[in-house]
Amino acid sequence: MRVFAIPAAALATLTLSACGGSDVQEPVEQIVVAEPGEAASYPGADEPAQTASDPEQASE
Amino acid sequence: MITFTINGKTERVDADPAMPILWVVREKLGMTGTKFGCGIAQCGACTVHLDGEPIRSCSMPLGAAEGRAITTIEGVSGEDGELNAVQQAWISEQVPQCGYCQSGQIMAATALLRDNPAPTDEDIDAAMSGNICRCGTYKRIRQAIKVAAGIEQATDEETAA
Amino acid sequence: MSEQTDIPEVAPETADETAKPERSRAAKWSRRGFIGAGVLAGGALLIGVGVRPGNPVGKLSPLVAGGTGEELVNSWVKIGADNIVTAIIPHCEMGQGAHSVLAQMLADELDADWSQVEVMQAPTDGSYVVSDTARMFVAPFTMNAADWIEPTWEGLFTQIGRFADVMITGGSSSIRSTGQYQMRVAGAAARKMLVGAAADEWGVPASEIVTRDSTLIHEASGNSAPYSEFAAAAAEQPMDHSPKLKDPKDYRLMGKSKRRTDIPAKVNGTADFGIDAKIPGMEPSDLSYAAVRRPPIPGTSVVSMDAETAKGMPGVQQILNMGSFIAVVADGYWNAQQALNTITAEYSDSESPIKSTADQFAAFANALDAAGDDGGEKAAGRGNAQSAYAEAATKIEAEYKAPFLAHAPMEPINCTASVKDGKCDIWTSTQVPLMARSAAAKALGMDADAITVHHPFLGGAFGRRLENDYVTMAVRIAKATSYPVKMIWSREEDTQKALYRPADLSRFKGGLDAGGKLIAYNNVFTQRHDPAEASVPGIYDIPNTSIRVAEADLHLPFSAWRSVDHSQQGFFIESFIDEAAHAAGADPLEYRLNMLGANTERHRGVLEKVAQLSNWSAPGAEGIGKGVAIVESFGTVAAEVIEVDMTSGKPKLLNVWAATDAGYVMNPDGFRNQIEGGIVFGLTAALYGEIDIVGGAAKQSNFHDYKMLRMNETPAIEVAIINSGTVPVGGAGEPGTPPAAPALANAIFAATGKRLREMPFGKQFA
Repeated sequence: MRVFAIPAAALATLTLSACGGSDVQEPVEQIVVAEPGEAASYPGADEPAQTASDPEQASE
Repeated sequence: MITFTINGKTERVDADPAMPILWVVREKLGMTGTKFGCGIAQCGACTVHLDGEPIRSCSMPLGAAEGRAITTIEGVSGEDGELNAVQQAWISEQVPQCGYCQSGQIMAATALLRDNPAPTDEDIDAAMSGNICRCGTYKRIRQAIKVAAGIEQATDEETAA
Repeated sequence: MSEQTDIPEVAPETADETAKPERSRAAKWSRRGFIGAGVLAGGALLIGVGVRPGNPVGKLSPLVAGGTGEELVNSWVKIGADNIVTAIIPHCEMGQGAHSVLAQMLADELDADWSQVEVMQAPTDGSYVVSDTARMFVAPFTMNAADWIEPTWEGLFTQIGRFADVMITGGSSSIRSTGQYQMRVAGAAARKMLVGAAADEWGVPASEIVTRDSTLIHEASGNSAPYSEFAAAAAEQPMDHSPKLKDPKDYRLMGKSKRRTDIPAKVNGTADFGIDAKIPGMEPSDLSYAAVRRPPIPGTSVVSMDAETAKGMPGVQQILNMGSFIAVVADGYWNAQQALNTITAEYSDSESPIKSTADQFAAFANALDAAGDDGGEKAAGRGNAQSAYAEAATKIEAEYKAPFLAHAPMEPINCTASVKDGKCDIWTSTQVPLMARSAAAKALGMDADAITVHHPFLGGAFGRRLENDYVTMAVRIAKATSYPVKMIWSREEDTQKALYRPADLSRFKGGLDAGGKLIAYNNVFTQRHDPAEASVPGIYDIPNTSIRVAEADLHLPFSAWRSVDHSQQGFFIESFIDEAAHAAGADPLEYRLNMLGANTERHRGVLEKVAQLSNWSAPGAEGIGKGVAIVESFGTVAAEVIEVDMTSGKPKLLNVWAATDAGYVMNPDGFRNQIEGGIVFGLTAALYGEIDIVGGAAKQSNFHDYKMLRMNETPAIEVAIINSGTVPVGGAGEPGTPPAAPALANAIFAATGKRLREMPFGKQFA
């Protein structure tokens, strides 16, 4: 009987986790521009809206 | 500063006029019943009414709302929270599964029935095909619209078996 | 009705002081699972079913207690001073109705007043491990183990479950595992203890007390009382480890189409999904939001980024190169995404030799070529398929293709995290809250006990939210910023950087004897995930079979997708059986009926039912065709007939008739809704679903090119339910999906004579 993949994968992961601690990765680069709560300005307010991350997308 | 009404209440928002209405409603006003689905007006999850017309709020800039009236899912019930006919039909026909798209579906259906109190199947197709339901509840949405229109009888809890 | 109850802070001492550990030590393993009891402060009964040995109730009490005057009856049920029964549900609600139906099962055994039943999501605590679900996934053959073996299995799987964080919602398992083995037992045990307490107080035999609508009644003495009055005294009652469950003839709620408890909040905008997370004490407008981009090619990383333009964009707070992804944190999601769009980056080179869809299928073909007619790993088989094929009167061959598919839940992937003061809070839509906690612990280097996962409704999942990649990303962002951040993926990120239902290629050789009977069946394919039986045409009596897997690497990463392997194998197998029927000159539905093997009464039942529903034998008009397919998956047998109109040259779906046998359906209307949705999900994949690889990256990006079935394309759907009484009962979420694609392909063949061996079908008629 084959073991079901989802929990099997989880078992493997968690077995490693339980035995071997953490997998902490720090940021490679961190650019701090502003703190939350600092008022944002809107220099680009006149430009047209662009909502998609892919600019060539069609809309209805 | 952009000034508009939302569900009858006047709001003045200091935000980029190019920002889509969706994000103003969700993040600036904290009203999360309107959902983000695609960002490019393809799925209808973000549907709200602007001066009564259903629009895709993910692709409509805030600037377009200046001086106009926005209605969201939070504003379609009666003043005491009493559900409207569309919402009641959504319950009697047990439409939602995950429910994520249903705010947009209800906004689209509400606008349809206001303009066309007795829609045909073709009318329903035309008004509702811009709204995706990944759970696939279209059959029930169609039925619920007919129930809300009074074309079909509501399904009773005890007869649904 | 409160769906999402905030989990109060733990106040551990109060509960432990009043717990009754001696009762728990006295408890022993039983067929129905371990039952432990204790009391809450204030003197209420608390029972846990299927939880670990020892006494978990003291620890659980503060997690589920709502306030003074509320009495915890057990870890799955709570009775308030107002006599409201709260069912505590360990599964996630992603639209499948599990919250509601599990409450129905518990309330029925408890004889609770349904109008006074509320549902609460179980806290993300190890004691809410869904042990029977773990077991159904890991070792389904033990579900019907003999009584003597039960204690061992139950204990083992509870331990495995805790270790592996199996608080999982998947595999169409909630009702058939948690419902049958835990919720019903909890309800029955609680009822019996309440009756015992009342009998002692009133000085009457327990057998004379009846329970109805959350009330205890002794007619002869005229005594009656609400459950709440005896909740505390019930704690002193002896526990029945194997309470008698109701016979179906006594069901009052089970088997009834009770309206789902989660729906009212989903029609007025008040239902909270993961993406709607609000941080307590914080205005939504003060929260920070992250947009993210991972490298386009799987397995690569961010080498460098140019964020000069982004730094000057409105609202931007931080820009992060996290190695495996780039994040922009801003005062709103839109500002974050706009800034992210301006960032250019260099990515590491991919080691994968696969750059295109064609490369991927060439890799599959190479693996199948190498395996030939008898190579690869044997998945199943009997007789001698090769020699039977050699001697066959009629030989048929076919090769089928299935593409990669994204899950595309309507709620884009998102996760909100706060990491500070040595604690972490996570708000996200997940099918696996305990695994999410472990993933976060690992990424943060923190103890899991310091992490709280809040998991409201899921805006769809379909297997995608069994993965924790996005949880890891969100906690890393929140740790880097040291303030709370809501990470939202664009739809493009969700579609192109997903984990996918794997593509596959499957080759068949079939041999028919002179009478048209399929006597040789030789099949080899490259992808085997789960369930193991998905590739086996086990319902058919085929004397010689050879079913093999010749594994080939996938360029895009795997994750389970609604019905998992059945989603491809159902198409492959049921298309090939249809080809055999036509080769034999037989009616495809009759052919299937004639080929059914041993123990297939349910399969015969659904085929005959669907034939009747669809008026199968009536001749169709020119250009209109009907196709049939039958797949057993997750314990449920589903046969579907699809009628398609090809007169315009393109497929127009007219009707789908489905007949299903899940053994016993707990909520018929909810079950039908799931099957209807599963059919639409399967038809969407059949007509449109395809993720291509171009330049090593996923091509399709959003709903304009990764299309979904819409209202105007959706056929009429009729679902019939057969309650054959088979135990254990089958699932609802997945079984509707697998037969849809082959039934449609077979219908198109019936209408046009064109055999479709490659999904999706829509573009082949463009």
